[in-house]
Formats: sequence, C-alpha cells, structure tokens
Amino acid sequence: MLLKIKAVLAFIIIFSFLLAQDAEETIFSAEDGTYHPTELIETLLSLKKSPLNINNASRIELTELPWFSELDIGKIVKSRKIKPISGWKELQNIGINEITISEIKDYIIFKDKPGLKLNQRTRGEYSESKDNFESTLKYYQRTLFEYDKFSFGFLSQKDEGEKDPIDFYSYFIEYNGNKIHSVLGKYRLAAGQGILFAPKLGMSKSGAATSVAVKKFKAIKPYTSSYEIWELEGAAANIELGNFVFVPFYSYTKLSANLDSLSQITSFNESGLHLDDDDKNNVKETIHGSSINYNWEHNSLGLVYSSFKFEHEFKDPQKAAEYNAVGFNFLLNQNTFPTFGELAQADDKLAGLIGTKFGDNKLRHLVLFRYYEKNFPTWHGNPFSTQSKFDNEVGLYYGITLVPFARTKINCYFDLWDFPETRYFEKMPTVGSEQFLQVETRFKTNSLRLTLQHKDKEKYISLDEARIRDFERTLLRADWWQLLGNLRLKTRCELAAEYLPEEKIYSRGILVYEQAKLQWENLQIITQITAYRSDTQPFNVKHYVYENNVDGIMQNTVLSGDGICSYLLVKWKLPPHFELQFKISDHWYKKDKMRLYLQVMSRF
Amino acid sequence: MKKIVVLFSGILLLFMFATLSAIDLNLPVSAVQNATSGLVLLYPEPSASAVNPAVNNPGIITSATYLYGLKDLPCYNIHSALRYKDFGFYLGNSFLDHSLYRENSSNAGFSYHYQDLSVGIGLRWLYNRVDNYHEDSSIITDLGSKWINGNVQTGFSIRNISQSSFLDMKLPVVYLWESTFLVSPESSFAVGFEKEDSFDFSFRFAARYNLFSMLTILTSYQYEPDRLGFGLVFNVLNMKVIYSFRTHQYLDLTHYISVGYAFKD
Repeated sequence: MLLKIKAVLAFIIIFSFLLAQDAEETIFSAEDGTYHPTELIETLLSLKKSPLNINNASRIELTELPWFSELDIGKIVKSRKIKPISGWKELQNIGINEITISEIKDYIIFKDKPGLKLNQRTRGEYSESKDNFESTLKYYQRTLFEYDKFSFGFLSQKDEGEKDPIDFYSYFIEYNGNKIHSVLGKYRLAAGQGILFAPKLGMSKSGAATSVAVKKFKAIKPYTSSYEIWELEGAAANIELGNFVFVPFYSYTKLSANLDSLSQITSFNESGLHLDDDDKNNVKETIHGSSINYNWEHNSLGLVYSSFKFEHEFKDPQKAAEYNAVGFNFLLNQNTFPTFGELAQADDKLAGLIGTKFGDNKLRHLVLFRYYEKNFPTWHGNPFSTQSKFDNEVGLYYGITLVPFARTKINCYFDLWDFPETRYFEKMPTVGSEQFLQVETRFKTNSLRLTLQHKDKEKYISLDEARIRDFERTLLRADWWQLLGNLRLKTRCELAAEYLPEEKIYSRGILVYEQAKLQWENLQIITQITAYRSDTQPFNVKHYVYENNVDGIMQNTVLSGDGICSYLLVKWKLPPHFELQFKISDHWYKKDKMRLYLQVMSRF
Repeated sequence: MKKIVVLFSGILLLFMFATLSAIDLNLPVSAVQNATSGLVLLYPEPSASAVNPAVNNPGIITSATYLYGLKDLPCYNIHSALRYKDFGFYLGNSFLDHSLYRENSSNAGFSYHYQDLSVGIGLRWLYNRVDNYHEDSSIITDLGSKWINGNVQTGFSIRNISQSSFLDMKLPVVYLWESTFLVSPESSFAVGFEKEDSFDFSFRFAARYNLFSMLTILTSYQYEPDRLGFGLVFNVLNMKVIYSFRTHQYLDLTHYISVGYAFKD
C-alpha cells in the first residue's frame, strides 16, 4: 500500500506545475526534528531593512547574497570600476541572469544615504507556560550606531526564568575600510567551508538545493546572534595586501558547561538557558591564530592556523582540552565550473570536504563529498553535514536545480551518509539517506509549491528485541499562495509519516493552515490558523511550522498530537523613524500556551 | 561500412566461441550505465541495447570493473551495435568472473526504426555456474520501444517477457521506463523507474552536462536502494573514454572504466 502511495506521490510531483519564491522560507529545512534560524536569514532580514549598495559593497559583502556566484560578483566588480551601476536593467546587461535579479531585488540598492545612522530594536516576550518562573519576561535589545566606516553595537538578552537582566550580551566596534575590516569585542569567525570556523546556526540542506549547501561567509563579523555560546571575544581583522588577505584573531571567552565532581567538562550548555548562575560562564576558552588567503581572479587559496585551549579537562578522554588546528581551503572558479574544498587537521583528527558545481541556467548541479573523523573537534565549526555534531560522518550530497519552463523551478537533492563509528546507542556503524524534491511554479497572482522529503536512517529502536532498524520519515507538503489586491493568502496542507517499514509500524499526521497577510499603507496584519492531527504512538509525529514573527526572531513551532492554534501579527510603520510590531499566539483548548511579543524598532 | 560489417561478424564469432558462463544480476554493463543508474537514453552508447533493445547507438564499447571494489569480483563487458537503413543490430556479452561463481550473458538484438518510433527485440543467453553447486543456462527474450517527441525521448522495455526459467525457477520479469528531457543544448535530465515482480519501484534520476565539447559529466540517483552515480566522458573524435563510480549503502564504490568507439552514420 505504502509503495503505491509513494509511486502516486512521485508521479504527482513530477507532473505537477507548482510555486513561487519566498526567500525567507526556502532557506529553511528541518534537521533532526528542530529548526534553527540561520545567519543567512539574519543577514537577509537586515539587508531588507538596510539594503546593500551594489556600487560600494565589498566583494565579501556581495558573497553574502546566496544567489550570486563568484562569476556574477566578478562581473559586478569589473563593471562598477568603469562606471557605477545605475539600475536593474544595467545589471542584466552586464550578465546577471533574470532568476538572480528577481531574488536579490529586496536586498540591493544603487545609491547610499550619507550620515549617522542609529538602528535600535527592543523586544519583550511573554509565555504563559513560563508563568511559574520568578522572572517571566524574555527580553532582547540591540542598538547599532553607524557612521561612515565605523559602527558600534550592543545587544543583550534575558530568557524567561533567568535572574540576570543582562544574562547574555554582545558588544562590538567595527571598522569597515576599503582594505581593512576589523572588529573589537564579540565576533564570529568563518573560514573556507566552515570545518574549523563558521556561524554555528545554519542548515546545510534546504529547498535551494544547489546554493545553500555551499558555505559562503564573511571572514569576520560582529556577533549579533542570540545563540548564546561559541562566540569569540577579543579582536580580529581582515587585512587586504594586494592579492593576499590576512585575518589574525585572538579570543578569550567564557562558556557555560556542565562539570562533574572532578571539574571535568561533561557537556556544554548550548540551550542558552541559565537558571542557575553557578553553571554560567564557568569554563574559559582561549583561541588565537591567523588565516591567510591568496585571491586571484575568481579563485582563492586559504590557510588557517589556530590554537585552542579550554581551562578544564574533558571527562571523555577522546576530547582534548588543548590542541592546535590547521586547515587548507580553496575555491577555484575556472570556466563556470567552481570547485571548492577544505581539509583540516585538529587534535590529530582529520576532516575534509570537497565539492563542485556545474551546469547552466536551466540545469545546475552540486556534488559534495565530506569526511569527518570521529572525535574531530566540532566546537566552532559548522560545515555541510547531516548532523549538528559533524564528526563521525562520511557522505555524498547531490543537488539539482532545474528550470524547465520560465516560471517553474524544480529543486531536488539526494544525500547518502555513513556514520562509520559507533554513535549514541547504536552499537555498530549505521547508514542513512535523504531525498528531497520541490517543484515550484508561479502564475500571475498564484504560486504553487509541492515538497516531498524522505529520510531513512538506521537507528537503535527498542521494541521486543533490541536491534538497529530502518527508521523512515516522509513528508509531503503543498503550499498555495494567492494574491488578491492587498491581501495575500497562503494555504498549506502537509502529510507526515514516521515508520519502521520492515515491522510495518506506522504513525501519521496531517496539518492544514490558512494564512492571510494584509498590507495597507504602513500597516501589515498577518493572521494564521492551523489545525493538526497526528499520532503520538508508536511514534510521535511532529509537524514543523515556520511562523511569521516580529522581525529578528524566527518562530519555529513544533506541533504534535491534535489541536488548533492561531496567531495574529501586526506590524505598524510610523515613518520616518519608528516601527511597532505585536504578536499574540495561542493553542485553542490548551492551557498555558499563549505567547505575546512586542517589538519597538527605531531608525535615525 | 564493409569494414564495420567484418568487425561486427568477428565480434559475433568471438561471442560464439567464448567460454560462456552467467543468474541475471542485472548489473550495469558499461561505465555510462554505472553513472546513470541504468538510464540509457541520456547518453548514447552501444550497450544501451542490452537494457532496451529498441535503442540502437552504432559503435562498440568495452568495459571493466571490480564490483564494489572487490578484487575477486571482476566483471567484463563488450557490446556493439550497427545500423543499416531503418534496421539496427546489436551484439553484446557480459562476464562476471569469480573463482567459484561465474555468470555470463550473451546478447543479440534487432531493432526497427520508423521516424520517431523504434521497436526492438533482444535475446539473451544466460549462463550461471557455482562450483560444486549448480550449473544451468536459459534463453531470455526482451522487448523494447522508444519514441521521440520534440525534446523528450521516452523508452519502455520489458526484460524476460518470455518468462524464462533457470534451475526450474522463473526468472523475474522486469519493467523499465525512462524519459529524457533536453533542457538546454548542454543539459539533459532523465527520470525513470524499474519494477520487478515482488519488489518496490526503483526510481532513478539522472542528468548530463556537456562541460566542454570533449568532456561530459553524468550524474544519477537511484531510490530503493539508494545509490549515487557519477561519471566523466572524454570524447576525442569518435573515441570515448568513460570513467564512473557508483555508491552502495554498505559496500565500497564500484568504479567502472569503458572505452568506446562510435561508428559514423
């Protein structure tokens, strides 16, 4: 029966004509049952508010837009040297294709406004479920001053239940010159494909099958994420000397860890929740090193050296408290055939990744192979992988973007991986695979998208006899957008199943929602009602719903069981300086599920 | 043309007198098929007739591999096809050589091509010997069709339509379907499936990209069981050298190398 369903689903997908592009949503994907906001999302949201001037943006800033290839950037840089680019038509004339232009329109401008800029955001969040905490309010604020090439920022955050009003903070002074870019304060570091250093939050796989899997980051960036661990604190600079780029860095920071009676580290607290101040910032970490990159034409070769030291030993003897790491990375962009890779050694363990992109505007391919040895230190890295702790993984990824007709786009990827050594409860190596297919098509006022995702991973599941089984999850989702004047409607229908095919044990779930977005001058109102019904036995089938939220946070709700939930979001712009955002969400017929958000934003 | 006919006859004699040995493992018979997960319309090469007898790509191709990287499982193939007016002829042989297990499949095929429609029939002599256990052979009939509609080529074939038996057991009947879309002058994309009695559908996706005139990249994915295949085709005049590899969930990669020559029309 399942086989027939699979065949019918595949048939429907291949021959359906489906949807449109919503940049914020296509770069999300579920991983191991949870969603995370990505640095890319944060960057894009920020660029929406404050678009990039294409005529003076650095090459590094342009690489942050995932739709630009190295060749596109080369064409832009070459063209603006002759004369500033004046508009979209000129951008098209220099060879940037229509698909790319349609994606970047919200994030690019052609002229700057001079002067001092202040960007302030304050957000309060109240959850009814956290009512029993002493301090129920979740609070976040970010202040950013920009003047010419300098910027200064400060952000603070406090979660529900935390006593310290500034439980987490970040601060920075940034200088963004033509040849020197430096940050003093808290920052994050990235190199190559992210094996040693990369923003910690971010997905490897998504609906953009041939772009998001390739990691592209600025080498250094002020730390503005609300992820409360693995940031660096100290100083870093990006210095360009001819074709060479040097990035020296130093960091001395404190991490929150769980320690045993011998003060050995058992794990780190990555949740960011610090209800007990004793476990907060109790392990010091020192990092220093440098990277050197040699860039020519559209190519780059890089070398990274770094020394790491935790001031506590690990309980696990396989993990070193002090080690050196060296990495080599490259990006070769000859003949529209970009090849990229990174090889790193740390604590005598090896990790490597190599990939290539090829194809034309109608059919693009990405092939990527990775090998990460068990116990390779993963603390500051986040390369392409199928699991967040990326050590002990060997895999091959193949992504395809096909544009068969002008308004239709198909993205699919296939990922196969091995965990060659024992992990968690599995007492032997295991394998897994994932298949993803997304068909999108646009009409004048309608857009459709159909998504099929299937994951099959060997897993220890204890039934009557203890053994590793094939555990599968299949998701079929249909999205339909309609534009009716100022009103945009979105309808989603989702079917999910988790099962053990050999044992014929199934759990299923269905979710439907209707979302209405009304734009009326400076007022935007978004409301959504979601109904879901899913089995909780033998497996708890979960639905992951990305909700619109006040800007700056991603509301990724996990739903299971039966229920109805809804939210109302109001965004009110008060030109020229202020914007108010308010959201209320609740689960019907369930207690203590209401959440309130209020955000005030100002720009001067 | 005369030379080609002589060469073709030579290959036929070679097959007839060869030590034949081969149960129908349905393995890829060339580096191209290893790269495309058995989808044969994406990149024309002579061994395609072994999968769908209606396909006729004149030329000759030889291939060798160690299956799953196992040194004691070498597999050799030679296939050739010839076209005369609207008629196509095909001969091929695949040989799996293990010290205790031998399998040989000798193939012959005939196809008829009328405008955009082609039909074909193939005969396979399957021989299999397991030392001190069994030895048997069987003659199997395959049928195929192919039609072209604009940028889309579609093929459908049935392997073992004769429902032949081996060791008193019926060999499986396998249905194969594939469609190839010419997406742009340099890119093609193919989808297809294989359905064998009592087994799940095995879906396949493959793509081809002509990077340069001398270099073509082939990629594929097969679902159930999961396999990824990649290949590089080096074209020099009518000569082709093809390297490909394909994954397996538990075993090592199967590397394939083929050398081929395309006969001129």
